[in-house]
Amino acid sequence: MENDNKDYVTIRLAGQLCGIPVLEVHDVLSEQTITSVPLAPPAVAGVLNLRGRIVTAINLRKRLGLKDKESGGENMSIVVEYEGEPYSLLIDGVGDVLSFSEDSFERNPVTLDPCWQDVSSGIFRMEGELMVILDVEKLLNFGKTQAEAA
Amino acid sequence: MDDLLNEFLTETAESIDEVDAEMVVLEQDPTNKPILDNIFRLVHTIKGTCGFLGLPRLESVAHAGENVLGKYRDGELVVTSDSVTLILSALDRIKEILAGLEATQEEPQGDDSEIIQKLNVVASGGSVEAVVAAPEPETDVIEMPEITQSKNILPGQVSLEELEAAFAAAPGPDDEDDDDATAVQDEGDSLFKCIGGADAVKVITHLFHNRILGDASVKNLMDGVNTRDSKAKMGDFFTSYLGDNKNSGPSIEAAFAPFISHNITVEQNKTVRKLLESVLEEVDLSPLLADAVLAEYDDISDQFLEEVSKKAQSKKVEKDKVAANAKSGEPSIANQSIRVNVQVLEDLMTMVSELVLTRNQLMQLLRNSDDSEFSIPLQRLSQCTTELQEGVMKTRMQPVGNAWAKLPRIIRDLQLELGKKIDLQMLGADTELDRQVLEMIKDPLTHMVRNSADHGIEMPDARLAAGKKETGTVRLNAFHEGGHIIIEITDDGAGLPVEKLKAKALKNDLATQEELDAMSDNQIQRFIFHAGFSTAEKVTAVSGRGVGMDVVRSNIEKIGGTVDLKSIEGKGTSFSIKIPLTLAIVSALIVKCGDDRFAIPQISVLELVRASKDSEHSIEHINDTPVLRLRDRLLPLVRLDEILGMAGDKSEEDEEARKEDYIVISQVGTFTFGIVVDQVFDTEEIVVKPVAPILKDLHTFSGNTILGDGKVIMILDPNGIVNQISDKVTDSSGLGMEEDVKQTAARNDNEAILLFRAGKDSRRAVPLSLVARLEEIEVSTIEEADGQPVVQYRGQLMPLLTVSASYELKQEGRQPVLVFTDGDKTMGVAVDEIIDIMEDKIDIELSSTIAGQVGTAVIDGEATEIIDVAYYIEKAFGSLGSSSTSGHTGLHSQSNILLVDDSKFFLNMIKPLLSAAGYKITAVDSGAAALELREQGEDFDIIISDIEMPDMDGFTFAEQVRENGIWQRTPLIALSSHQTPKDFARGREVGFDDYVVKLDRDNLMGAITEQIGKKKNAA
Repeated sequence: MENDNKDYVTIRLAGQLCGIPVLEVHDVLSEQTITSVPLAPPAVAGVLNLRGRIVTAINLRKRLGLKDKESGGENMSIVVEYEGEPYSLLIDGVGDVLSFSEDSFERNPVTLDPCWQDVSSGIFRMEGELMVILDVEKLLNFGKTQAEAA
Repeated sequence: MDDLLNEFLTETAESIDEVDAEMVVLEQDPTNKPILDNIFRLVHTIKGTCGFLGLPRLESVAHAGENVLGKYRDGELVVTSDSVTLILSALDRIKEILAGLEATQEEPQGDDSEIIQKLNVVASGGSVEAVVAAPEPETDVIEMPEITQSKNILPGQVSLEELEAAFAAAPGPDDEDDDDATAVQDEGDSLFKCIGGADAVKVITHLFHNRILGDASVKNLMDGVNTRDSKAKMGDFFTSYLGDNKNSGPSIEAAFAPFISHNITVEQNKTVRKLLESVLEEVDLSPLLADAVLAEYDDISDQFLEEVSKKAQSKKVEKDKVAANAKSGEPSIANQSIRVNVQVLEDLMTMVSELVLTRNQLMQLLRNSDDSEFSIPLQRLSQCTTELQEGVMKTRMQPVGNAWAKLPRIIRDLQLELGKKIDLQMLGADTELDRQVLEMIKDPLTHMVRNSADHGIEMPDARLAAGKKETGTVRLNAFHEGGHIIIEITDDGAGLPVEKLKAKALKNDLATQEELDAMSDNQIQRFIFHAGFSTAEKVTAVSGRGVGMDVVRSNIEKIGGTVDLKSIEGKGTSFSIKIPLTLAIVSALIVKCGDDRFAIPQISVLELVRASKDSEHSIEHINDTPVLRLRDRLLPLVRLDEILGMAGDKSEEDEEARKEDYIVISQVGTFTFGIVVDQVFDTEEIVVKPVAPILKDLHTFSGNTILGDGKVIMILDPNGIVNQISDKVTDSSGLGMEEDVKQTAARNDNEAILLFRAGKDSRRAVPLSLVARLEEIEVSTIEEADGQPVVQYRGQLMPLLTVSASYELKQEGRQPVLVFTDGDKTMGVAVDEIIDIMEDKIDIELSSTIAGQVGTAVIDGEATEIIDVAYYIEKAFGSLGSSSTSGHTGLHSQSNILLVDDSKFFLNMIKPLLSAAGYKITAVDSGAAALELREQGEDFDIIISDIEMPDMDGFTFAEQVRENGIWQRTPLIALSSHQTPKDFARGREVGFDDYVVKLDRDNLMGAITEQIGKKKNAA
């Protein structure tokens, strides 16, 4: 919080602009072969091999209750780490790394979908667009509770 | 001082463990002087080091324990069980303190006065009981008289303050050290006293050695030297040299033999001196004292350097001799091993795993490209990787005995607590397995041994009443078997009480009365693997808290192992644990289901079956449940796509269109089932990687891995699959039922019989279990060798026999052949046509006079000749047997014979032979099964047993038969392929009445007739 400006990797998800703190992003991957895991929670798209490491792929659209993507277009993913395990978040596209100042920060509007409320730690105002900040920890914690419930 | 402390902790923990074990030995053998000396030495070292490091609590406890040990050593006290218990509890206290020390780097707070007082009372000749009655405050003993003594030191060399500082935590001299102490006191100003006495010298020499070993430029001085001996020698030397008693200890030549024999150079000596200096600094010796010691060292080093140069002169002549001496001098094991942090090994293993993966990927690439210039280097890389992998695996291997080290102590404590007499036998303690696996089975093993001792072994009087030896036996046996480690825990205790288990199962709603009635004893006994099932009537401190065998089972299954039990009420229980050698890299079968590939660990794969509509195997359905007929068994099948929830959108037509299935027959515990998959690829060495936490709850998978082509695949866990399907079947162990039933059925004499025709003669038959394979051989491939037709078969020459001399081989087309194997021998019998396979009872009604035939039986309403496979095997390989069985026929009909042989082949071969001779045969395939029959009260006129059998060999079996029970007087004939006089003698010793070589039918028949005759005469 000492630094006024924070850097975010921006991503596109079903048209919505989202941001993930740049320091949490380990990798940005283009399309990868993903092995699906039967019986896994729906948000788990499968597992993939990233330079000899096995990474669990999370389907962010499913995770956020969005519709499945129509086929076509490139599949990107960004790799983040949670509790020492690597996860790859499947997204529609990656944009620039943007820097925001605290001034443009807003809390989540109370009317936001609870599913988004859960994983977002706030919103940044941009010119002409809003960026939702995704909280990696909350994003991936969900999978855990869901798996437990299953 | 952290390094010092860590070193101390590791070393002390090891010593304590050793003392723990040795104390138990000592208790049984109180006069064993070497052991006592060793214990004393270990405890003394612990005490000394503690004192040096300023750990007063530890020191005082160790000291008090040492006092008692000292009295033992001097013969003033007799080793009693009570006092051993006391010392053991002192060791436990030391362990507690050590644990605290490890956690916080400081000695934990606590009061040890009670235990110290007890120890002192014992040391002063009192009994343990007296401790409570007369708590004499003899605690003074452990106070530190040294500090007062140190005041006596003349302040000639160092100031009193410095001495005090050096002594602050120095140990007190104990009773047996008194002599030394006074001796030293007389020359109170010796340097030896000033630096802190024998203990300090010990620590210094210890650290000094370690430094030398840790310094690259001088560590070769210690090559091939037993450091422990060298430490002791150098310590003794310093003790006497610095103690102004220069000539009493070892000579300089002896103490510094390693330096001299390695021709220490002046340069090296400088380094060594520096090391010594740093050691002295580290132990907080005052600079003054350190300088004094170093000055002494310089004197000493001058002497041995001179020695070296002298030696160099005469060396040319004696070179060979010296070399020989150095070699044979002190062969050291200690110095050939180093202590490595486990984490380093783990990291190494991870890296090797990665390397294996990369290698696999490269090899895959290589396979896809032909004739690459990389192929040769890659092959070499592959080989190196394999060797590296093996090497690293080896570093992780530890003898299973490490996991057993605590058991003697546990058993001993149990004996006292429960008042039982138990003999713990440990066999195969040097069997090695992966460290990780070892860690995982440590607790289950301990638990099981405890269980055996606590629940299994009865009280001495109960044992005597049951006609057993007063002392019960718990035996641990570990051995390798086909890539697995088998650990057996056997006790000769009360066995598992079936009725009680039934009652408990009912109470806990695990099964209904009807279900229980239908279960075999073994199945009921397996209930103990359920949660909350303890059979001990009383909850003791040791076991019976209801967390028991279920935890053991799940722990073992977690590492891909299985656990099974056999128990006979009143006779004992035997658990057998089967675990893989290592967890990290396993061989796995790659299968395809839908669009995905999966790995199945090879350990649980028994065989592969291809099933299609037109092949001999096809999947049948009972009310939509798929099953497979495999040989004489019906196996339940699971469809992998259904298990994995991938079958949803498949239409019926798809099913119809499906031409063939592959079935992976796998085994979990005793439950065998088939997994239906779409396709089977090859096997691959895979590195098991744990799945992400988010997928941990999927029990269907045990992990995932990266294949050679870089794709990630999931590893199926057959245990998990069984658990999943067994939800429907109540319990996986219940699935073993089918097998048990089958075994009983086998005893009912119904056999699968192969019917065939050869020549114009009548229909012939042979027990199907004897036939290895049925083949059709192109006539043109039949060759002739030594006047006999032979054929090349699976890379071997297989002799081809005809059913009778008059039978002629076909001239063209294909010749059907029955292939028989015995061990590595294979032979074929040519026939005209194979008619059928059917289940029937072979009842020989007419015994045959024709060689090669056992006799005639009615099978399926038609007279059928049963051929004698043994005859053909003999004809093909052995000297031609001249015999027929006719001579023995018809006599002693209705004599009952029990045949015990693990080889189905022999069972099936001898059985028709004997029944042809008019005996009634009961055949079982293990000694244990035979003893079960005994328990059921079946009586026989004669017992014929094989010698080489797994689990229980013939000798053991005979001993058990002779020991008690209704067969004590039944004639016993041993049947074996071993025929040395020694075997004969051993056989007679354990109670066999006769010893017959396998395949020698005439002798066997003769022996049977003779023994039965004897029995009748005796009766």
